Amino acid sequence: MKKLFVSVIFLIFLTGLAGCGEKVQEDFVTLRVLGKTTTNLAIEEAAYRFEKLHTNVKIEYEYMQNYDALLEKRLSCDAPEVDLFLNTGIVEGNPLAKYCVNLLDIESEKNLAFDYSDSLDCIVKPYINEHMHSIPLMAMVYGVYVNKTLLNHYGINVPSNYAKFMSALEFVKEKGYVPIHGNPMEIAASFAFSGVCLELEKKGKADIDDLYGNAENIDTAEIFAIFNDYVDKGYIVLNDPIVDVNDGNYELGYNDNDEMARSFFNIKYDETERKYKKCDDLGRVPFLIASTEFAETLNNCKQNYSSEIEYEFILLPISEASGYAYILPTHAISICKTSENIDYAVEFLNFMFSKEENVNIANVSGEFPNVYDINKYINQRLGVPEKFIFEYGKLEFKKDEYGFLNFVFKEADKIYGMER
Amino acid sequence: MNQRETKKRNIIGMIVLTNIGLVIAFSIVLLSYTRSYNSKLNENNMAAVDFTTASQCVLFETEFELEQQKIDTIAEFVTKAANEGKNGAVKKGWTPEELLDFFYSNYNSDYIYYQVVSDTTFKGWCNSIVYDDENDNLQAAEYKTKWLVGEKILRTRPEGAKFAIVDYSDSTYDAVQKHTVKCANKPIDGGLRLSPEFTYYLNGKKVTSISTPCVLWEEDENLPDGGFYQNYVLYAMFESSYIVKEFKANDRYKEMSFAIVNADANYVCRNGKFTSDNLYSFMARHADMSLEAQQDIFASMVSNDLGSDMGKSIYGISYYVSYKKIDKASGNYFMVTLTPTDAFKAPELNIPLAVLSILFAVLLIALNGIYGAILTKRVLRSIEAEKQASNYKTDFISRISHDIRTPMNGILSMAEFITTAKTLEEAKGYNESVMESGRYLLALVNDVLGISRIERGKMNIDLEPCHRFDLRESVVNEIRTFAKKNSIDIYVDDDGENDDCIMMDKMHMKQILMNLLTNAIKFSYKEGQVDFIITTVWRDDKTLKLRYTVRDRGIGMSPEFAKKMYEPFEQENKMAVGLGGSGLGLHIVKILTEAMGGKIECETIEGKGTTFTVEFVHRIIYEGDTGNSKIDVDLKVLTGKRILVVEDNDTNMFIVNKLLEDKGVFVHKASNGLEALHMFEESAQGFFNLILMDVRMPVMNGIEASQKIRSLERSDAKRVPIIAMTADAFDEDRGKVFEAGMDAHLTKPLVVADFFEVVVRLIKGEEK
Repeated sequence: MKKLFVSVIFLIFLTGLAGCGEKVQEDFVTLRVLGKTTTNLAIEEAAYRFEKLHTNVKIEYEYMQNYDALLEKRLSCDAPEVDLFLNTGIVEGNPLAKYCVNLLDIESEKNLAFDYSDSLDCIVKPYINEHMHSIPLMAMVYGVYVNKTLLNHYGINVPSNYAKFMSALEFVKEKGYVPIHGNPMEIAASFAFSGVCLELEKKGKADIDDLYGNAENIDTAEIFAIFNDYVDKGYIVLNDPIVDVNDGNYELGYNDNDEMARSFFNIKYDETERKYKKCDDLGRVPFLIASTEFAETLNNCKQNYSSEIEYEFILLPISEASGYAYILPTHAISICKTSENIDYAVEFLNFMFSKEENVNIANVSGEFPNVYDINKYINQRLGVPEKFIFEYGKLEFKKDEYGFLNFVFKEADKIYGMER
Repeated sequence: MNQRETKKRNIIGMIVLTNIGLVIAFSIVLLSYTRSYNSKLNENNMAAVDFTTASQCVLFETEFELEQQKIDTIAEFVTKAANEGKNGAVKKGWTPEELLDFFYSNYNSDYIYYQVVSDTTFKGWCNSIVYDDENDNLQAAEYKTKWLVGEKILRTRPEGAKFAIVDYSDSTYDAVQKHTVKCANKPIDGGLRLSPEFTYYLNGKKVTSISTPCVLWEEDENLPDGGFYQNYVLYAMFESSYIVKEFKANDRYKEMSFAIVNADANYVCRNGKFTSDNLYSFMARHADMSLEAQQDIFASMVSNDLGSDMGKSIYGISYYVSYKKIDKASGNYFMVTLTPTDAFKAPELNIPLAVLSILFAVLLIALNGIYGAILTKRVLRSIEAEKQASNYKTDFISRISHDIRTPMNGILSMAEFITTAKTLEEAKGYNESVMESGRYLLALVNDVLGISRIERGKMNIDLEPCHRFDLRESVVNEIRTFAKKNSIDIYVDDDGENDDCIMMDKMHMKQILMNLLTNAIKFSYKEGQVDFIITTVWRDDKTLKLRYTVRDRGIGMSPEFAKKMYEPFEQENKMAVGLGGSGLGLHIVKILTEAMGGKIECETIEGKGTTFTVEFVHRIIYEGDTGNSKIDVDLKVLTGKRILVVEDNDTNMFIVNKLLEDKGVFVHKASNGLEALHMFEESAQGFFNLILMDVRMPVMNGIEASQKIRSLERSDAKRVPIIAMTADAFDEDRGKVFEAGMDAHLTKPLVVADFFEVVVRLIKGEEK
C-alpha cells in the first residue's frame, strides 16, 4: 500500500511538473540573412510571413554597405554569423562557392530536402554544375522605364514598337532632352541581350534550337550596331561615366541607383533649404534603361519625394512588333556553410521557393518570380507575346554566360572609350 | 527507536511530503494566475516596458562609457604630443599606424575594433570639409580649382562657382563620413560620441561605434618636414551582434525589439523587427503612418527624455513604441523599443495547467486524508495489538504458572505421601497420581512448545507415506486406554475399502486427532460414547479426500464459548471443572489443520454434544512408490550386543541401562562426549554395535562427539549406528543430529516401543 501510494504521488507529481510552466517550445532560432538593400522589402516581408508560421524563428535581414566588396570578407571571418546570403557570383568560378552549402547534396548529407520544383529550369540550370551553391530567387528582364507624364505632356504615348520608339526619341531630343539615360553598363547589357533576342527572332523559332547551341553564330557587330546607331543619332550621349548631379547636367552615367532614381523624378538639392527637393512633376528623363531590379528603388524614391510623375516599364522596343524579354536570373541566394541553423535555413528557402510565396516576393520587388510559368506573369505585366520571351540558360554560349557578359562590357568600354 | 515511534515518524513524514506537494500545487496555480496578471495590458505593464527601455539605456551607456573614457584619454595624449610637435618640442607626434598598433597590442578584444579615419575624405573637391555646427551641416572648404583623380583632370571648377554644401545624410555609409568630420571638429566633451551603424571594411561586420578626435602625424617623404599634422577621428567599434546579444540578455518581453538611433533616424544599432536602412525608412515601409506622423514621433522623441506611443501598426501588427533619450550621448540619440501589444494581452489563464494543478491539489488532499486515516488506523490497531500481545503474555505466564503449579503440587504431595505410605498398595496409588500429574505436565509442556514453534514459523510439515488403517489403529489404540479409564466407549468406523497408502505428516495428523478425541472423551458424560469416523469424501487416481469426524454426546459448548473456542487458554468453566486441560488443545488443532492445508468445522449444542470434522486431501502412494516402513521389532537380536550409552544424567542413564540390560545387552557407559570418543577410539574394530548419544552434555556435547567419531580413521567409525537421545524434539534439532552423522533421533522422555524399534532396526542394519 505504501509503495502504491508513493508511486501514485510520484506519478501525479511528474504529471504536475509536466504541466508546469509554459508550453514546451522549440529552441528559439535567429536566422541572419545578409544582402543588399535592393531586395530588402521583399525578403523582409517573406521573413515576416515565415515567422508567423514558425514562431520560434526570427529572421534578421542585415544590409551591408559596399556589398560586393565586403561580402567575402564577412564570409571568411571566424564567426560570420550568417545563415543565408545573396550571392553575387555566378556559378562558374564563383569565389564564394567555398562558403556555400551544396544544395544538391543537402538531402544526402544533412537529410534535409530542398524543394525547388516550382522553379524555372532555364534560370536554375546554369547554377547547377555538379554542385548548386546558390539559386536565383527571382528573374529579371532589361527594359526601359518610360516617363509617361513627360511623354503625355507632349502628346506622345508610350512607344510599343521600334518605329514609335525611334519617333519618340527623336521628338524628345528635339525638345532639348537627352532621350536615353542610365548606367552605361546596364545600357550596354540591355542592348546586348535585346540584340541576341533580335538575332534569334530573325533566324526564326525553328532555328532557335541550333542557335541556342552555338552562340558564336550571333553577330555581335549587329547587336552593337543598334546601340551605335542610337549614339550616332544623339539618343544616347556618351560622356564621363560619373556626372555631377548638382550642376544640372542630367546625362548618361550614374553612380548609384538612388542618384539615378532622383534624376528620373527630377529631385535636386536645394541650397537654400539644404535638402533634396522635387523640382517638378514632369521630369527631365524621358527614357531610363535599367532592369526590373531597379523598380523598387524607383518606387521608393517616388514615394519618398511624393512625385506625381507616372512611369511605365517596357521592353526595349527594338523589334517592329515589340521588345524582347530575355529572362535573366537575379538575387541568387545561398546557405552559408558555417550556419548553425541549416535546417531552418532550408525551411526558409523552401518557403521562399514555393510558388505562392515566390510570386509574392517578386510582386513586392517589382521583378518576376522564379516559377515554371513565368511567361504568364511577364505577359500579364508587360503584354509581351510568348514568342518574344527568351529564356536565359537555353542559350549555351561557347563562351559561358559570364564570359558573354564580360564580352558585352568590354564592347561597351570600347564605345565609352574607357579602360577597365 | 521502537516500532511505534517509527510509524509515527512515517506518518509525520508522509504528511509533510504531501503538504509540500500541496504547497507546490497551489504555487503553480498561483503562478499561472500571477503570469496572467502580469501579462495583462495595463499601465503597470506599459510602465514596465518604459522601465526596460530606460534600463537598457543605462546598460548601453555603462557598456560604452568606459571605452569612451579610454579612447578620449589616449586621443588627448596623442593630440598633446602632436601639439608639442607643432611647437617644436618634439619632432613629430604619433602616426595612425602607431596609434592602432598601440590599441591592438594593449586592448585586444574579440568584439571591439579600432580605426582612425582622416577628416579629409573629399579631397577631389576641396582640401577640407568644415562642420557647420549651427546648422548641423558640412561645408566644403579650401576648394580646389581642379578635380583630380590620380593625375587625370576630370573636371575644372568654373570660375567663381560656389559649391553646394556637402550632404552625406543620404546613406548610412556617407553618414559615417559626415560623423567623422563632425567629430573631428568638436572638442572632447566626455559624452558618448556614437556614430551610425556601418559595415567594417576589414571583416564585413556591422559595427556600433564611438569616436573621439585626435591629431596625428602623417608621413610624406616629399614634404620638407617629412610629413604633416592631420585631424583624425579614432573609432572604437563594437560588433553590433555583441551589443544586440546584450539587449537580448535583458529582454523581458521576448518579442521586444531594440534600436538606438540618432536624430537623423540612422541606426546606431538594432535588432529584431527594426529593419530597413534607417528608422524613417522602416516606418515608411512597415508602419501605416504618414511622413508627418513619423516626424511627430521624432519631434516627440527630441522634446521628451522618455516617452511612448501606443498601438502603432507595423507589419499590420499593433506595437507599443517606447523611447528614451540617451543622456550620456553627445548629441541626440535615442533608445527605441517596439513591443507588440499582443505580448501584453493575457495569455489568458492557462486553463489546462490550472485545472491540472487544481486536480493535483485535490487529489493530494484526498490522498493525504485517506492515507493519513489509514496510517492512523493501522498505528492504533498496531498499538492495540501490542497491548493485546502484552496482555496475552501476562495472561499466558499466569495461566502456565497455574497449570504447572497444579500438577507439580500433586506430584510433590503424592511423592511425600509415598514416603509415608503404610502399604505397598497405598504407595502404588500415590505413584499412579504422580505418573498422572507427570503425564499432564509433559503434555502441557509439549503443547506450549508446539504453539511456540508454530507461532515462530518453525513448524515443518514432514510428509511421509502412511497407511490409512495404520493411522486409524495407532490413534484408536492410543486413545482407547484413556477412554476406558473414563468409561467412554469408542466407536470406530472407516468406509475405506482399501488400506490406502497416503502421504501425510503422521505425527501432526495424529496430534490433531488425539487432541480432538481426548477432548471428546473429557467432555462426554460417564458411560458415554465417542464416535471416530473416517469417511472418503472423494477420490481419484492420485488423490483422496478424507473426512475425520469426532463426535461426542457430552456437555457441548455454549454459543458464546463456541465463538472463541480456538483461542488459546479458552476454557468454558463448567467444562473445565474436574476434567483438566490447558485450553491449548483446540488452538493447536486449528493451527495445525490450517498449516497442513486442511479444514476444520465444529457443530455443538450445549448439553447435547459436539462434532468436530477435519478434512484433508492426501496424495495416494501406490505399491512401488514406497514400502511399508514398519519393522517388526525382534528384541532377541539385542542379546549379547555391546552398546555404548553416553548420558550425563544419572536417571536417564539408569533408565536406558535398565531397558537394555533387560534385553541382554552389554551396556558401556560414558558421562560425556569426550569420554565416549576415547572409549570408542580405544575399543577394538567393530566392538560397539551401537552408540546411544545424549546431545546436551558437559565437556563435549553429543553432536561434536558424533562428528569426531565419524571422522576417525577406522572402518567402523563410519558404520557404527549412533542414535541421538535428546529432549530437543524439534525439526531443527533433528537436522543437527543428522548433519553430525548420527543415524536416528529419539525424543526424551523415551517411548519404550519407539526406543526398541529404532535400536533393533539400526542393529539389524549394521549387521547387514
